[in-house]
Amino acid sequence: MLSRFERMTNYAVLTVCAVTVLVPVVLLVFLAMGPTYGGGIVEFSSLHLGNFVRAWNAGDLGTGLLNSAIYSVCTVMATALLAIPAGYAFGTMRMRGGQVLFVVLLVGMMVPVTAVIVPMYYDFLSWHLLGNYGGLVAANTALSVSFGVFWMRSFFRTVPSPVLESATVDGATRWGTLWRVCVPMGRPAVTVMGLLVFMWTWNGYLLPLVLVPSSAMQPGALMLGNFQQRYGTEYSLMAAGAVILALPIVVGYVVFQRRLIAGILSGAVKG
Amino acid sequence: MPSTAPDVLLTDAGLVRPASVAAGIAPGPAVASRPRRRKTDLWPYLYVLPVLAVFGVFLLVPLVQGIWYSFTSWDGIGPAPWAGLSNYISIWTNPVMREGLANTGVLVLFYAGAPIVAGLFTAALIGRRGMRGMGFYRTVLFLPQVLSSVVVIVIWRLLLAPAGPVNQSLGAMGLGFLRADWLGSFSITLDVLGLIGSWVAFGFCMLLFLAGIQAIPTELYDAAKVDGASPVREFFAVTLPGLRGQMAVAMTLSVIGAFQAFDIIWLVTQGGPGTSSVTPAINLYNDAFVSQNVGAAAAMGVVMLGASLVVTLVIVRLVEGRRNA
Repeated sequence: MLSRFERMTNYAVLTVCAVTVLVPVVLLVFLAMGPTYGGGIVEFSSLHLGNFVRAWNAGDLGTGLLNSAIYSVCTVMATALLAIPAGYAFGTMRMRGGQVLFVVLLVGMMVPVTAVIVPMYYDFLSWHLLGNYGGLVAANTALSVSFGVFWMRSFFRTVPSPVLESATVDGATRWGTLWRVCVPMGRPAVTVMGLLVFMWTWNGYLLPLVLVPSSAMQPGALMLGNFQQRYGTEYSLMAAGAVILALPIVVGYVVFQRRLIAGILSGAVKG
Repeated sequence: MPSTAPDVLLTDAGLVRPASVAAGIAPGPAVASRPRRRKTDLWPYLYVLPVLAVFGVFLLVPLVQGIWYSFTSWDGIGPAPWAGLSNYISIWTNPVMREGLANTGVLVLFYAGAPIVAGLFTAALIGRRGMRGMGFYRTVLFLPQVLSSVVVIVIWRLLLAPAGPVNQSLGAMGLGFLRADWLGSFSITLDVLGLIGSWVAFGFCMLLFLAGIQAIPTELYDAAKVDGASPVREFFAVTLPGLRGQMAVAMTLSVIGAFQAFDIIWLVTQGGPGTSSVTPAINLYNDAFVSQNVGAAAAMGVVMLGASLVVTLVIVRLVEGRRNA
């Protein structure tokens, strides 16, 4: 067993690390409540929630959050609908040339946004995809789908072939087996993929900055970006806006963290 | 590696196999019509086709177009005159471009170097056998990873404001001479932005290394204990060598992240003051969408793609090579 000294040192060091992460976040929430100071000491009676209302109205954050939700949900659904069948085929079926196709898709995981963003802008301009929901969903999906296929393939390879075969014996088609047997079995894998893609889309900045010029359809991250440039000196207002944008993701993280982290951990070992 | 689990299930499959073999020879239209190995089975291609279509139209097409644009001096509107290699040459000769490349070198230290060291250190502590409550630390340290970059920069703009908490506490501690204009200085702002990047990235490295540590067989640690190895020795003899694969992934992803650095810096300084914190991605954005040098921006995109692929290959080669040696 670990010595008492070592145990205490570990806790001390980790606590220092946790504090460097948590203190800035807690201060953000604190500043958002607009504290005033009397003689260098915080007057706790001055804390209030008014800034959240002001930030919500001034930054049009309600629209931003709704847009973020639309983009994230649509991207997750599109990625899942595309990646699940493809991962199933790559993971369980014989396919001539399948290796090559899979490697091509994997290279897609290495393509940085910056390598495609410029031509994408001009393509979307001529395809009328610029500044509408479909365009950003398509771009986000194209950039997540390689990961999705890779992720689902490594899950489907762990489905024992007897399960696939016995389902076939029962008269299920492969398509039916996929959705009625394999996907329910793989709910944890699908969940983690969905959570990651949701998070990436919700937090993404460069893609919407380029592809969604009209403010009515911008996601919350972009609106908060504009907002902090406009109200750069109104610190409480900025903080309140940031808390509003972060809240759904942080709550989701706290609720799902066990599953999310366990999923990433198991995926990271395979990868 | 997780290979044992499927093997066990496969041997269990002996009970099921015969049935499926029987199904193969059993008469009946449903089974007979199913294509078998002889004929090329086209169904798998149908499962894969939609992904390839989306991938092709929205990723490969722009990628190829980008390579084409990079050899032209297109301004985004008129015809695209052939420019040969001049866009690539100016990446090396243009002073702002060069500054971007030099800044990338600094950012690699902050986006990749520091997070990997810190991640390794914290993962080694969290992954120690016989410690309790480690789930809490794991969750907290990963938290910056789930925050949007906009939220991150709002946090740090507040903390580092000229009259913000950091400068105030420095004054209160009698360290007033250390107070600085953290985010508006020619000399230190790039480093400060880099540190913010480290703050975000290290939770990711930590989690990756933790995954690796959990896959290291316990016997190795037991053996080290029997040999009377100190915790530090144990780290260098058992933990670090066991993390080779995760090290390759962490290095690849975080170095590429440093090459791509955009959000945090763009939101705080837009590359300033002056051009002191420009990055290749910020130069690309300005070229493409401010000064309409689409050709030059495309060339930068191609260079960034090339650099990412080279880094991946080199790191994978290094790690694999050492494994064989």
